[in-house]
Amino acid sequence: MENNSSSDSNDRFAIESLVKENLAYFQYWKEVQLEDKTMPWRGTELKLVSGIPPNKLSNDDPEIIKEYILPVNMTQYKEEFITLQCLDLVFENLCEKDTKRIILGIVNSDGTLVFYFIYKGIHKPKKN
Amino acid sequence: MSESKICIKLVVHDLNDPESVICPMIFNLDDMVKLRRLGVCGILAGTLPFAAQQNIFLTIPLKLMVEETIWLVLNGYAELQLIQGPMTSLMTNILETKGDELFKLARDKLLRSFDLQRQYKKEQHALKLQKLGIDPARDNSSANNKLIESSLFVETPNDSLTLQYCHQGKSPIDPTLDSMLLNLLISNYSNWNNYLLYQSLKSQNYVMSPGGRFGGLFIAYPGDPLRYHSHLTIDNALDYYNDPIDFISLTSGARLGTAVKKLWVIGGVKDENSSTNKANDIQLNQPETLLTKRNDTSFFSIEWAGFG
Repeated sequence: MENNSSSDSNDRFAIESLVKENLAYFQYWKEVQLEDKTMPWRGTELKLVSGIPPNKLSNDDPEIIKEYILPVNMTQYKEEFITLQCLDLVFENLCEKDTKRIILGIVNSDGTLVFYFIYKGIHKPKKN
Repeated sequence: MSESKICIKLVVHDLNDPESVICPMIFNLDDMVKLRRLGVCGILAGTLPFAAQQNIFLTIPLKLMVEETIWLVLNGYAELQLIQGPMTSLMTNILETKGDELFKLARDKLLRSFDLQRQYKKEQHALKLQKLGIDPARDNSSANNKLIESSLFVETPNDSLTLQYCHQGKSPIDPTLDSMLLNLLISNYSNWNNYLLYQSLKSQNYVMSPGGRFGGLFIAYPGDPLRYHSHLTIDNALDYYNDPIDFISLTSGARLGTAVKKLWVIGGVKDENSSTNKANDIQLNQPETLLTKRNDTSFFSIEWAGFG
């Protein structure tokens, strides 16, 4: 792991761009951008992507809100990359205060993306 | 809750071998009611040996999850009663020494129940005839008696006659034995971090059931399972600092969960010296050490975002 910190940051940049482009051009999100705040984690810098979805993502939301997305690589779970502590730190350092959820943007090896809500703590299932 | 403690029976073949412990069971209906009020449901497992049926017809014993058992014992609601196996030789022994006695007891009980039923049915029949204006004394056909004989019920008892012989009297409460039994259960079926997740959810008034149906460790209901659908599928506990989150298990658990209106919940215990894992071997003399740990858990709830 020692000598490839530059390839790690390239990797981060690649999946951050992929998530951004997917949201902007495939999901029709607006104001998609990479946030300024960074957080060092396991030899790389984590950043969130933010944007505004075209419609409410959950029926429990009062209105359309700005969403924060943490891009991760599907293969990275093998490298002990994201832990529970990491998620807590992301909420603490990269989100605004009282943020209830972030979205995990998981990049698969074939370039496809899946998005999952992560709520801090125990939450209720959304209404349909 | 000043009543007597709930009695959880635990069959162990060999106290030195964790794999010889059989899941904890409840054999008493009143205890089952008490458990339900405490938000501990267990799984009914009792059936007639020749009529294995769907769970709507099942009765005692009630099988408990390891985490439920530990929670009940640590919070002082229940006590463990050890039955030293192996069960086959234990049963053979009981049948050899007490067999005749038990047979007589069971037979007398059955005959007494038949007598009562016959008497009741005859009385009812006589009343019916009286209403129709027929003298009951005249109607004493053997056909009627045959009908009564064929309509007698055999009652399945709520408790076992044999069980009382499985343990010699009431064992004095022995905290070291209790602690040892709990450790046996944990090492064979679960781990202490899973217990701490259970404890933390329990303190938030969730009712847990085994979660295998939805790919998790537990499913959690916001109240009694007969009144609510479950809201959560809880995954095995992670080490807060070291365990990586497995995205494959996360996506499959959350995708399935979203389809059945459940959140996929991952949680872990913040334990600084978790690397040794031995640090968790509890002493029941100070159960507070475990009971106060509930604030050290951290949970995240996951569901599909609805796109992608």
